[in-house]
Amino acid sequence: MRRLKALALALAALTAFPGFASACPMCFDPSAENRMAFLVTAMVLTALPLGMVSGVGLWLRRRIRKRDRTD
Amino acid sequence: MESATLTDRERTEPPRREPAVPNCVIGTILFVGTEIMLFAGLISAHVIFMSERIGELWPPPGQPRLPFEETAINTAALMASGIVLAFGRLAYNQQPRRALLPLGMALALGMFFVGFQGVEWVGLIGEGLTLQSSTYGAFFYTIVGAHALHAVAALICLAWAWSRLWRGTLGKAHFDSVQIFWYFVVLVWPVIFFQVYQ
Amino acid sequence: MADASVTTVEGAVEHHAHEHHGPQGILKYIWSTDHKIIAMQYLFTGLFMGLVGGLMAYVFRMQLAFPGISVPGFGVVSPHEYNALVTNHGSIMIFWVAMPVLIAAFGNFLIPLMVGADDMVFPKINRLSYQVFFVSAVLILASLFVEGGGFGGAWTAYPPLSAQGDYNLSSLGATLWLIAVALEFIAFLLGGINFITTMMNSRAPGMKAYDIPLVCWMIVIASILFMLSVGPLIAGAIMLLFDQTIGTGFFDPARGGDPILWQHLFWFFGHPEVYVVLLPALGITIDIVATFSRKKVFGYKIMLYTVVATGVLSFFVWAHHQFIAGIDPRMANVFMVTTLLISVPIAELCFVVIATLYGGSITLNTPMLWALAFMAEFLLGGVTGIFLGATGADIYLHDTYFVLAHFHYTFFPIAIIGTFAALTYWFPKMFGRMMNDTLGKIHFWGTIIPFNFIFIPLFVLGLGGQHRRIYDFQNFPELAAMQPFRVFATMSLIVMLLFQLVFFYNFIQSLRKGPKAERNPWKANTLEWTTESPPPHGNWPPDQLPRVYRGPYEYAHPDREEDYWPQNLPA
Repeated sequence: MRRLKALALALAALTAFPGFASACPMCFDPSAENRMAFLVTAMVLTALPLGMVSGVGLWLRRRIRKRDRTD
Repeated sequence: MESATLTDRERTEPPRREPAVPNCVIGTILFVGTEIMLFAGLISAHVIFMSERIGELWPPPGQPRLPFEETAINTAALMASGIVLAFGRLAYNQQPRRALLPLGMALALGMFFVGFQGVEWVGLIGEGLTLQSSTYGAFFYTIVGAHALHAVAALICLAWAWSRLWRGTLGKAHFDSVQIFWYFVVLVWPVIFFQVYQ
Repeated sequence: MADASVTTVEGAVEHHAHEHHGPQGILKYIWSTDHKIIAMQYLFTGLFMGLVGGLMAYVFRMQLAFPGISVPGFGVVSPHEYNALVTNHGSIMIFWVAMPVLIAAFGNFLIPLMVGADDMVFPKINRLSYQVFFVSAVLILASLFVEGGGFGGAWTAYPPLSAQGDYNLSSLGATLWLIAVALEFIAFLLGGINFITTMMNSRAPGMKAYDIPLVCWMIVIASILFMLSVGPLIAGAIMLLFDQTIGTGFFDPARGGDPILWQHLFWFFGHPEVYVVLLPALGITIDIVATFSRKKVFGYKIMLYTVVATGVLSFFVWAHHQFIAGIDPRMANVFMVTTLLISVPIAELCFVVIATLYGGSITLNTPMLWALAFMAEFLLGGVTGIFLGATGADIYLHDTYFVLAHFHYTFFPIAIIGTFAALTYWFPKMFGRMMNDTLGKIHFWGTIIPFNFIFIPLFVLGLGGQHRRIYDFQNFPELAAMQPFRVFATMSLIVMLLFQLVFFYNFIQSLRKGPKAERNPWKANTLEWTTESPPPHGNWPPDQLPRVYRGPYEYAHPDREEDYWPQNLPA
């Protein structure tokens, strides 16, 4: 079982080193900075709304708790 | 089980509870959340655009450099406006009319910011930076222009709040909503400033 | 009309739109701020647009089955017309049918009634929302008739094709299309603000978070998803609009732009959008299934948390639309894993529905049939999505009819089956009359069977390598050989469209002559059934706004003789 887990982890780690196959050679930008920019903005765009929702959600919860205590 | 329709009809309705957060504050928060995502989209577009220009001559030949230093002063004015507004809110809590001066000051600083931007734009257009001149210019006017539109809208809200305050009819919830909107305009600016003017 | 000033609702609702001297006559229906009338406006606009979208499908399917013939009622389809029809069919079905009907119409109608409020909290913003939406609908229809024809660059509007009139040859059509889409987003932002705030602040006394019917939760979560994901697309739309009109070069590589950037911004919205329309349909299904199997929803909280998890995950899957667009393969790996992961919560939702059905006393009437069909057909759509989510398979299947069949198996259940389920279920409450069940069942079978016959052949065609955006397959020998599949799909479509006549006949006939509906014809628990059918202005008489004592799905409670227990009955 532990061996299996290790194998699965190793296989998963392999996905971090993919070979590049450009299905669309015209639009593939080889610059590392550009790929990094896409990666970073994708992460920011994804994290920002989730962060905002959880932030506002927690704040609302606190407000509601506070009101319920004073009622 | 006794007939419920009777109890339903005869019971006097207890007043509904005060909501934990007033309607207009929730509405403003939701609206501002969408706007934050709009600017996140614009700014990430700019980040990707800049990543494709690494190693190129910057700014592009024939295009002016953006006035970083002057705008830094302008940025300080906008930040000051936000801080003054926070003091205004504290003063409002003690006695509403005391907020008249800080709110007015925040409004004046905001107007200074927008006016200064306008002067800067006239200068840049004179130097040959327009929407069509290059993608560099297009990004600058789109992002800063979107911010300026929001700033003008928020200033109108601030002016409305000030006039309500003058007449003594500005509620706490409305003050909060206007404040949230103005903070959004203030706080999104530094991000734009450091990304676009770099 | 129970027009009376609302008493003792201090602070909960800020301003009431219960004008004593509101607009009269026909203006009452056009200029009203009543949430029910706005819901009807959205519903009828959405159904009309659905008809337009369906007829567009008829025209281009005829061209595919019988290339070059003069399509009855339209004429010969030129390549550009074909592209414009396909593009606008997609845009209309998603933005002007699925969203207005599922979110706006049923959100507007159900949320205030189900949470026991007299109206939305911002009635005027609500009216503005419909008006903006109406303008957008007029613009999208107008864009088909301007010089150069409608926009033909697919509903995703990928640049560079969409970036310049010189490329797509429909500069005015493309610009109008883009403006219409942007306006539609603004309309739903205004609507979303209303839904969320109303559900938070205007609930009936006693209604706790877990007493809210799931359909309201779903519409609200969908609105939150929509509002958070749409910003980047609006940013992209502004930039694309500048590209088209002013001549900037954000997305056009010929002018130094980056076309992948548009895909980045578009799909950030585009994928959550799928869940935006899915969740309301799922909520409708759950409510109907609980009512007609006379059982409590299995795991209300599980369902709710699962939907929240789906919402969170839906922000992590969007790049699976770009697997072959030249994105970083590491990014593609991450998005493949999340795409496969999101099938877990969706499967969980399916099991919740099945567990709710299990051991219930099921009534198979029209709304229930639609609700069950929704789960069955959506399941097929979800399962085929697994293939497309895997990067390896996607490289082959991308942009083939397999993708097309897959997303029709998700969108058709959402937009069409979900709409019919909701419409047949809430028809008595909306219009005060019962619908004919027999005609409803004929329409049901006449829609479901042809639907499968349309899209199962398309899976086969897709696996055979048929590309999505080809006007005439006769020039490709190995694709031309599969012509019988195309003819069969087109014939099935025509049969399905003809069966919609049954629906319209039933709808109009029931409106005019259907038996009067009582308050609670289905013996359901939620609050909307405690008022008259149709509900008066203000929903309940002002001194009789309901109070809530329990959850919405207390069916077949052991302590009670009747098998339902309305939320507003005191214990």
